[in-house]
Amino acid sequence: MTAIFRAIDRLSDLSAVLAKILIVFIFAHILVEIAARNLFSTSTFVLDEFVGYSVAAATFLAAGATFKAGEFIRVGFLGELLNNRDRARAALEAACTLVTLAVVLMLARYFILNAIKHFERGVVSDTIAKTPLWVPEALVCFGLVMFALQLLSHLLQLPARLAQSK
Amino acid sequence: MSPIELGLFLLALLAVTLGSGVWIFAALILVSIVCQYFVLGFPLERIGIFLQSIAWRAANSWELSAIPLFLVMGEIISRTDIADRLFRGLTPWLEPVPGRLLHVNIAGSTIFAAVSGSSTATTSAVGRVTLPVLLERGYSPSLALGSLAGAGSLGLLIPPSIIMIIYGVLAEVSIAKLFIGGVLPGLLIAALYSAYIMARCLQHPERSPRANRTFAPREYWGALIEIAPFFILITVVLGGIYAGFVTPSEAAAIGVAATLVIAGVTGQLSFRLLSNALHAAVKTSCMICFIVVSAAILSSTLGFLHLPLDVATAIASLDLSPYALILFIGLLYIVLGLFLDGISIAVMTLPITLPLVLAAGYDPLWFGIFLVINIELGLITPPVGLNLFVLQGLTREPLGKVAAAAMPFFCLLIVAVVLITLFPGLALWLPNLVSG
Repeated sequence: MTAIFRAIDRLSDLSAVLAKILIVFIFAHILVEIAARNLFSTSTFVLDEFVGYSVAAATFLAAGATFKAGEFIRVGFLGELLNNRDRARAALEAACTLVTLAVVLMLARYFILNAIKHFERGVVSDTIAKTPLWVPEALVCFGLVMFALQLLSHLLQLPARLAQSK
Repeated sequence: MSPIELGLFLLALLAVTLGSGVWIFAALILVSIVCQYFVLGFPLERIGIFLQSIAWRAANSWELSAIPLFLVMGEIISRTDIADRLFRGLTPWLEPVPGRLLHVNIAGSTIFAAVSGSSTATTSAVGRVTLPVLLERGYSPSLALGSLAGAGSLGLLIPPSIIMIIYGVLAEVSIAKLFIGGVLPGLLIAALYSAYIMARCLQHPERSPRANRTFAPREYWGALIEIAPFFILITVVLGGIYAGFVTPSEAAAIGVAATLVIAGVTGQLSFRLLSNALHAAVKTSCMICFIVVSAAILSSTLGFLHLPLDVATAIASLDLSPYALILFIGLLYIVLGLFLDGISIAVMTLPITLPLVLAAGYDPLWFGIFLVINIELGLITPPVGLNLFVLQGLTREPLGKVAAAAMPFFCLLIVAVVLITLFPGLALWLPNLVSG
């Protein structure tokens, strides 16, 4: 089991690396565009389109690592009320994780179906770049699947953590 | 269900899911799914396709790219000694003012806020440098903590500002104009804070003890050089936006480039620093964009339910005056601010509150500034106040003590909200002037 959890963490990290590369790409593309416009009176013509894809892809690709680092915000008064009752707390955490997993899986399912549809029909953006839409969508799908795996790993590790805290 | 019943049902559903600790983005999407399935009777297939298309449209956004870029910039700055320079640079100039180095908290946060988009980053960067010195020199801990909690919250109001980018996207208001509109109210609040510190320290000089050294004239000019990086960054980032040359996203990219140059020139640039900064920024950006995406889903769902319209009609039938309405909304934000973080408050309430205030004749730009100050109030009120948590982490003081220290500054922020409501020109004059 531990090996699987570790593999999931590695995949999340890999996915986050892709997100970081995309952020660097956004930065570089904007600078290139500014230089092109002001120095050479031309443009890459695809700035807002590609930056938009990159923001979407980077957001979803980073989700697994963000979750693992505990950076997604939550409120959780109930968890604090149950401070001294480990079992109830673990059950609550499991319920929260399951609900979130269901939401993420639903997003993943329809993103994947949509990407497959766009791939099969060869749908491209109605811009000068004619980008095949499945490319950025596939990155989003990969990120969502990584996120789902990370949630699953969190869920499966709860019993072990409960045993440890005793 | 009547609109009121529906609204209460939704509110209860949100309160239960959020309160039991479901991650905020998931809670917002879950409530949307539940509403569409049970209230509207949509089949799951249709809901799934809807979720996908809204999520894609919300995340695939040029405007949002300013968020990761400003975060990268802030993360690089906070990993260099630029904040220490700010402290060294302001010290000789503020030492003679009543309240002395307490004003470094105010002026330092104000200046840092002008290069950082987040208030927790501002509070922790400034606090890490100033608090140890202030406490060691015997300054009043409550004034030191309170002024930092209050001034750190200016990170939201003084541009660049992440929350303004989100408001601009959701309310379809020019982000550049919001950035310009935040400046005067931000300076007004800084002035209120400084005036309060002066008044307290003139009454009780022992709360801000004198330094045991004097500064040579040469040191004053040396100090200005220490602050120079900030002036370069502020000019580069905000100058372009104000002059109308660049959009906020472009300004953010230029800001990252300038920060890299400054870090390079001062010999602090390393692969490790860049990698750490990028890693931290990408996660925070992910968290924020997930909330924006989930908010777009919730907002469209509420639209399906005609809830914003129904609530607006119900409230219009009460025949409230515009001031009464804004008072009500302000109180609502203070209550929500006790429990929720600013971004969540903004994205959850805007679908309902924005049409209301627009119908009452308020300017959407003005409401953005009003909302941001209200969110700042929420940052320094317990039990959930992110700035209080930062200060708690820095000083290991109990939350109650930090919150009590922040109380006078909370009241000053309320004064500022009242002032910009009575004199909307404070927020609107500058943006209108710039856009001609």
